Amino acid sequence: MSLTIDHLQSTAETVSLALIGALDSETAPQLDSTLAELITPETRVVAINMGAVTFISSAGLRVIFKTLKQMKVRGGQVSMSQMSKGVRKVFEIVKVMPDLTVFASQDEMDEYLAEIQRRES
Amino acid sequence: MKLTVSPDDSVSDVLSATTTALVGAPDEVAHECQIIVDEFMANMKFHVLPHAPDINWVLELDKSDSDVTIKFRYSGEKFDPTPATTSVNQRPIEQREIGGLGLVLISSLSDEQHYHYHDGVNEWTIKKHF
Repeated sequence: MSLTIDHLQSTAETVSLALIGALDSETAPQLDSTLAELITPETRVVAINMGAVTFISSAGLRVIFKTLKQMKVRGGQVSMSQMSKGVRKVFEIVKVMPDLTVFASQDEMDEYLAEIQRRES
Repeated sequence: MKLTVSPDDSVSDVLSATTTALVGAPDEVAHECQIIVDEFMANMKFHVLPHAPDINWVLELDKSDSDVTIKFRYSGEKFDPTPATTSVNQRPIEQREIGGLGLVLISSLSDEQHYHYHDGVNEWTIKKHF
């Protein structure tokens, strides 16, 4: 089990990633440190494509929770796209879905990020 | 299949062994058993072993035609996890603590749980039907 983190793009207010693999107790610190490097004081939206995440356990949830709290304090948000049924179930169990902005496809999320970029410029 | 896990075993090796042991089980069951195993591993590595590095612990996993049984044993002080598994805080994320999600996941993803403590050994048995 491993996790690959693909940094799709960053703008002044957004960080966009795609995760591939398992977000478990061994790999979650990798995501935590990547986000710590990429998130700046100006970041308001962290967008994560979950389409290739095979599973997420509480260690992965903690990283998402931490990022969500960080963004909410700034009036920002965490967006996710292409969650599998199994991954979505885990988020539902811990009742965090209402706090997330969820997109069915990467195209929808890209459109949303593009709109933020238009506002930035 | 019986997995005997020691503190030196990596999570990824144990999860790979879990995947192999669950071949033939529905994907959803295998996926949720992996989460349960990861929660056990994380609990031992981050909460138990730092205080008791020489502790013995064993993880057993058995698949039958209709269910998966995951049995987890470790020696040490009594710790009944079941009271901590019952509820999830529903407050907004800003007001919630980050920890405590592992036991909730184990409870929510399992169909049966049994805890026993005898002769200085904690034993937690999880069953998942399919």
